[in-house]
Amino acid sequence: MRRDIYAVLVTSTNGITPRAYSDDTHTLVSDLVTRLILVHNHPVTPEDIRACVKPISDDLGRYEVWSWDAQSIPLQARAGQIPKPGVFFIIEVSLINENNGGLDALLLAVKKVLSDDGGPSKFQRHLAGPWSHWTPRPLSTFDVLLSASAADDTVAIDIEKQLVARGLSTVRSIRPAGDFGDETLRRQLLECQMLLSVLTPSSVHDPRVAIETGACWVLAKPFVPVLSKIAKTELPPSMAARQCVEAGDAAALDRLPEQIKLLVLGR
Amino acid sequence: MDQSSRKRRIFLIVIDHGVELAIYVDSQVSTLLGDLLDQVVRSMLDYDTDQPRRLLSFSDFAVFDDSMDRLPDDIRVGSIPAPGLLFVVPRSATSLVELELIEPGKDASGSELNLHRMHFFAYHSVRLDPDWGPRLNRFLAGPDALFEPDPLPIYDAFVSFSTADFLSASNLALTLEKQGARCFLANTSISAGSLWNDELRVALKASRRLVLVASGQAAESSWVLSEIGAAWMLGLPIIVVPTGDVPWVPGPILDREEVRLVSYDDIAGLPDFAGQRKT
Repeated sequence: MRRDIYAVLVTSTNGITPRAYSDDTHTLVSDLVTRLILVHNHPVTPEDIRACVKPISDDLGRYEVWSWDAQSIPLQARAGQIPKPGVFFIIEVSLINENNGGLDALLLAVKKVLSDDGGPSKFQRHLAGPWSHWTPRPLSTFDVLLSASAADDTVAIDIEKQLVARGLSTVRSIRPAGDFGDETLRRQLLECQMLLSVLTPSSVHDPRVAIETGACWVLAKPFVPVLSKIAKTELPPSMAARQCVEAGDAAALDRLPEQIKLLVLGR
Repeated sequence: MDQSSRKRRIFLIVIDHGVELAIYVDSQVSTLLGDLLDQVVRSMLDYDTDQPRRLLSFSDFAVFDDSMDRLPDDIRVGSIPAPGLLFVVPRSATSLVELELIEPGKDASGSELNLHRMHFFAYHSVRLDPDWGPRLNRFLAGPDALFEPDPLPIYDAFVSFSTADFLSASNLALTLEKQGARCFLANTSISAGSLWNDELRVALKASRRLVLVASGQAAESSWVLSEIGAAWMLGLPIIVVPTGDVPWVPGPILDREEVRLVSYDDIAGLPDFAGQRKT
C-alpha cells in the first residue's frame, strides 16, 4: 500500500527543503531519509549515486527525524507509522542547539514557514487531502517481539529466523517465571509492532503472560499465541478469543511468517 | 520513544472585558492543563505591567473546550478534545456581567454562564480581528487541529476484580462514590449490547488509577492480570486492596513505585480520590 507523506529537510547549508513523497507503507524511515539526503546533498547522476553510497550512510547520523507534534521518529520505523498529518522533519543535529532556542523553537520556526499563506502549495494540498487524516500504526523501533520461557526458546528461535529472512526486525524476550514489571519489557512492548508469545502448559498460567497480553490489548497491538503442547481449550479466557497457531502443525507454522509479514507490513 | 515528551499546539482564547488574547501555546502532552494555564496567566501579568499584581492561578478561571464542555484542571494537554481550541474565562468577574454572558452575582464555573452566547461572542470576535482571525483560521485548517487526543479521564478509579468478588468490588465502588469519586465497574458501567472488550479498554485509558480487589480468585483470573498489565503499560497508579478469606498480596507488583497496598477499611480515607490534581 502506498501513502502520501510530506518530508521537510532542514540543513545548515540548504535551509528548509520541503518535499512531497508517495511511498510504500513498509518503507523504512532510514531509507526515506537517505533518499532525501541523497537528492539534496549529493550529485544525482547514477554514477555519482553509486560513488557516494558510503558518505550517505555516514550522513544518516548527522540527522534526527521528528514528527509534526515533536515526537522523535526512530530510523527503524516505517513510512506507515509516521504520525498524523504525515509530515516529518529531518533536521541536521548541529542546528538543534541553545543558540537556536533548542528543538522547540526550531520546529516552531519551520512550521511557521510552512503554514504561512505564502508557504509551499504542495504542503497546503497535502493538509487538505485525505492522507493527512490517514491513521498510522503506532511508532515502533522493531517489528515483532517474541516472548517465550527459557524452555521454549528453541520454538521462538526457529520462528525468528523465518521472520528475519522475510525482512522483519525482531527482539526475543526470555520469560523468567513470576518476574514481571521490569522497565526493559515495558519498553519492548511499547516499541514493537506486535507480540508473538510461545505458550506451553507450564507457562500459560505464568502471570507475566497475562500481563503481556493485557499490555498489548490496551495498546491495540496484535498478539499471536503459538501453542506448544497445549490445546486452545486450555487457554485462559482473556487469550482464548485470539486466533492461535499450533507449534506441532508444520503447515500452520510454515504459513505463520507470511501471515505476520502481512500483519506488520500490510502486504 | 518517550510519548510524554511529545509536544502539542493548542489555541487559547482568553476572555475578560472582551477577548483579551488569542494565542498559540506549544506544550508537552504530559503537562497538566492547570499548570499550563498558570504559566500563561503569569506571563500575561509579566507582560502587562498595568495589571494589578494579584496572585492568579488556574482556580480563578473556568476553561471550556470547543464543544463548551468545562474541562477539569487535572487533565493533560494530550487529552484536550479536538481541535485543541480552549476558551478561558475568569470565574467571577463583573466584566462577564457587562458582556451579558452571566447574571450579576453568579459564578462562571456553574451553569449560569451562557455558554452558547460566549462561544458565539468569542469565536466571532477572534475571527473578525485582523491579527487573530487569520491565526485562528490557520490553526483550524492546519495539522495541529488533526491531533488525536487521548480520552478525557472520566473515571477516578477503574475497579479490577474477579467475578467471584463482585459484591466486594461493588461495596468498594460505593464507598469511593460516597466520597465523590467516579468509578468504573465492568458489570454495571458497560451498557447491554456493547462490545465489552473495547469498552474495557477505553475505560482503562480514561481512568486516573486502577483499584485492584486482590483476592485469591483475582490472582487466578487472567482478565484481572490483563487489566494490571494494561494499567502498568499506561503508567496508571495501582491501589491494591487485599480482600476475601485468602487475600492476595501480589509481591512482584508491589515492588513498583506506582503501586500502593491499602487495606479495605482505609481506602475510604485516601485523600487522592475525586477532584484532586495528579502530580
